[in-house]
Amino acid sequence: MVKINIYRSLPLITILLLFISSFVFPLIKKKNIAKLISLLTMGLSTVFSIMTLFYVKMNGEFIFRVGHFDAPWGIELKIGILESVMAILFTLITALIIWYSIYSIDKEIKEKRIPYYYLLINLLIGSLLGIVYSNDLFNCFVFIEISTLTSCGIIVIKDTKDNIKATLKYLILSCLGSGLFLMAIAFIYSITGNLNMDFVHKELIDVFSNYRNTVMISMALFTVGLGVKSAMFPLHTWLPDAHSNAPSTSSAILSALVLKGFVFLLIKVLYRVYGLEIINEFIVMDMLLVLGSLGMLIGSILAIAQDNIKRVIAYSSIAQMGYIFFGIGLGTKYGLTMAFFHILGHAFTKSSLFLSVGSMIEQTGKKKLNDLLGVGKEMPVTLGIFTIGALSMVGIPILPGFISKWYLSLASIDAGKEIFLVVILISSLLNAKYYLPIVVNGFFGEENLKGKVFMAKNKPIKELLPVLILTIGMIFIGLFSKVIIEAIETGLI
Amino acid sequence: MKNLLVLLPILFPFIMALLIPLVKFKTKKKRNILVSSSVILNLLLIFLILYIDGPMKVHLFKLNNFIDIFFKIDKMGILFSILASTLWIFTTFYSMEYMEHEGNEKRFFAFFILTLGITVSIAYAGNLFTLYIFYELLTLATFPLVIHKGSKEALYSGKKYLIYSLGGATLVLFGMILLFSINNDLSFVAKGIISPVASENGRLLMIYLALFIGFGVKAAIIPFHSWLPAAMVAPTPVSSLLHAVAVVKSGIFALIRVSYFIFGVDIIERINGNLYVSVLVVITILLGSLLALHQENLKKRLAYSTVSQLGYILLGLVMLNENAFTGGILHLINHAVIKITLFFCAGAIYIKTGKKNISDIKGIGRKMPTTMVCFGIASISLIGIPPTNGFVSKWYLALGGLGANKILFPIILLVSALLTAGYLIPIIVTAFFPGEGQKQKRDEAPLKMLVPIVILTSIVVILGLFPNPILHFIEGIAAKLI
Repeated sequence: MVKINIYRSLPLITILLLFISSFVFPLIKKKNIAKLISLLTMGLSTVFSIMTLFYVKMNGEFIFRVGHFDAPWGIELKIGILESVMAILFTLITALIIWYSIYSIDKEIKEKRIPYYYLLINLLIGSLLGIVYSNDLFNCFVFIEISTLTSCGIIVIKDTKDNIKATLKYLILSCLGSGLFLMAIAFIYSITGNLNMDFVHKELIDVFSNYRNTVMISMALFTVGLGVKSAMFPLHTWLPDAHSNAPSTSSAILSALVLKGFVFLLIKVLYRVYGLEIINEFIVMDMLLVLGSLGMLIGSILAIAQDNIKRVIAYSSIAQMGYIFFGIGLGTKYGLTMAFFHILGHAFTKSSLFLSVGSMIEQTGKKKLNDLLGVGKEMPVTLGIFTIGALSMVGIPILPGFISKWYLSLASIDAGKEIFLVVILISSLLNAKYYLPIVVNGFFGEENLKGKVFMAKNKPIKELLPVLILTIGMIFIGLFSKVIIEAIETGLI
Repeated sequence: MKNLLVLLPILFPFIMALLIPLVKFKTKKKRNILVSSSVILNLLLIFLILYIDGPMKVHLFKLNNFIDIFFKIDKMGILFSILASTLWIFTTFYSMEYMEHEGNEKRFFAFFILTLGITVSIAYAGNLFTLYIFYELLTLATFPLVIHKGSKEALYSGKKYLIYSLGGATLVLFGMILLFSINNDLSFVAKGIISPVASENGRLLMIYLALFIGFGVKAAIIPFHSWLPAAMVAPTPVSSLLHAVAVVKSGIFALIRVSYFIFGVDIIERINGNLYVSVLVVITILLGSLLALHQENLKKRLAYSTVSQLGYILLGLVMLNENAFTGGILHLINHAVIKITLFFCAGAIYIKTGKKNISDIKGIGRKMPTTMVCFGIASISLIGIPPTNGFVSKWYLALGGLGANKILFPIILLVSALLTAGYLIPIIVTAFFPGEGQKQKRDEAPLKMLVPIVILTSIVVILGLFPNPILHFIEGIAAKLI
């Protein structure tokens, strides 16, 4: 009687497509074919994710039983609007990044390794989609482990001393994070006997009052474990090294997407496993709020102190993740909506920033801020793209950075926490402090421009096209923020 | 359809600003023709939409109650847009000649016209959010003009300008968010939009002060003024136009919008907002004049004079009565015309002699008599000696001060007028009476610079002799607001 609904299987198909296709890469000797396959599979995944979104929009949230076993025995995928939006975000941005990498990756890693690089990317995105879709805690853990190893892989693939050091640091801290996550699952399993999120939630409501401490410990473990992975302040120490040493395309994926996957999982755990009533019994939300605020401020302050342009952007990621934790920590629906919106906006912005900076480094061979003065004359288009991203970070109206800041402010007023308004505003000023000088010194200044030839190092427009699309996507997110926010709100219920 | 016409004078400069860097001009003359004709055309477009009856409003882009780019034309906006676009034309002709000495004219003119579009948008902004956006854009668009030279000093001043402006804008944003949380609509309506029972006084006061200081940064309120003298490193047309008209006056224009179109007189009086800010304003007037006395650099002296004169305008706004408001707006216009003339003269001197300091220009009156006579007339107007236009606006300001039962204000006006004389008259004296009779040949600035100076001076004189048409127009606005 099983009627196979192809639409319902799409999420699984997407994950499998990415996983299975990745095994092809080691067999391929020619790098161009590897690039093509990678782009094709990722493009196809994007299409599948978009189809999933349309299906969810028409038919509402659905649960897909992997292998037709019913929960709690089988593994479930639970796909709502938010999950499918996240999936589109992951696949679309990765597809664009892969497109960009076609032209640039040869310059960063050895030719022999290029097929492996795409293998890792496909595995990584597949595991991220798994984290997003899965409704099973242990299944999520498995995907987390895959994503940890693959993200280490795309950092170390460049194979320099710094890369190995950064990767080891990342690997150790990341494993610590997954360990804590596993421990939290163990605690939860011991008191509820389930791993399926919905079932755990049902059980927890019954047994919560008997096991207050256990619940609290597990919640703390989840938060810290995922906090390490998503660079929550003060657990961010691995991020600047990892993101600044990796090839630019990897940095873009790591910063724009991988961090977001773990935040999404944290939200899922907090809201789907525990639920608001249980969370509000503990101070987890307040902790998130405070740590988020600290991240917003200190991440930016540390960014100001950097002299390597990729490290500046990496530290800025910590600040931006702070916004997301801030939104979650407000503990209201409004705040959560904005956290989601910021995930979307930041994913586009950060990836275009990393890619544009990547092409500056690639063309000029320089990483230090002081060496990149006057780069706007040599590469006006690239720095122009960077400028738009930077303006969004600073909070120029209509761009998504501004929209998040505005609504986060309103949400904090709404939640009766007005003092945090000041944090948001100060942090946006700090953002201006480190982004604008790059732009200004790039475009202006007699000394800076001396000896530079106009458009001398410009990348051909076809190589910049994916970055341009990312930037346009970012502007669109700002323009259609109303629609997006409404969609998120309906998805949250 | 008719409403969309509002967008013409806003979009046209934006399009031209994009076009100028793209077009390859064969000769400078062709570029100059394009630039000047687009600036003139823009003024004509503004006149065109004035001739169409009916309420003119257009929502360019509406996301929700808040994010709503909304243009509406009212008398206040008309006044400001015509003032700005008229002075823009003079500056265009002046800078054609002047900028040849500075180089990189293409970039200059692109941002120059862009700034015109932004200023007109500020004039026609129909709600606080639109105003805020263009206020931010104004900072970004004028920044390249300020650092045009690209020297270390210019970059340093530019940084200062950015920090001050963005800081101010952040304060504005803070006020705006709080305001939005108590009042879900930020459109400009005469007499204010906040219902009297809306909220507690403390919070309203906080919002008012945040907005006032935030916009006040651009209006160079002391102690937030120091970007203005620093920005004098910019080429003279930029200093004159942006720092006598567009930027600083946009700050003041925004304050008018906030005070009279968002809060309204009643609410401000209830929360005593005017008392707090009037302290700042009085300090601005007096300290600005005093600081001007010390400046050796001619442009810096004029800059501090701007600080002080902007204080006059703000004084007119915070006294919250009809006469004072009329005086304030009249001074806004007069000061714009006068200050631009003074700056143009300073620029002409610099171009001809390369001298910036006042002590170096001894006897310049013999060399450049026309320029210096114009400088003299404008100075006298700024001091406020009848029958010049400066006198008219100060007269109304004094009347307003008396009307508000504050005898202190007219006294401050008098003291400051003396100080104004103190820092302007010595320049004229040095120029015309150098002491030893060095003979210098007559050598005026080129016609493209001299003609705008002379025309502007005659406007100054005409405004002084026949202030009534503008006065009635402003009184009409004032009657609706107070």
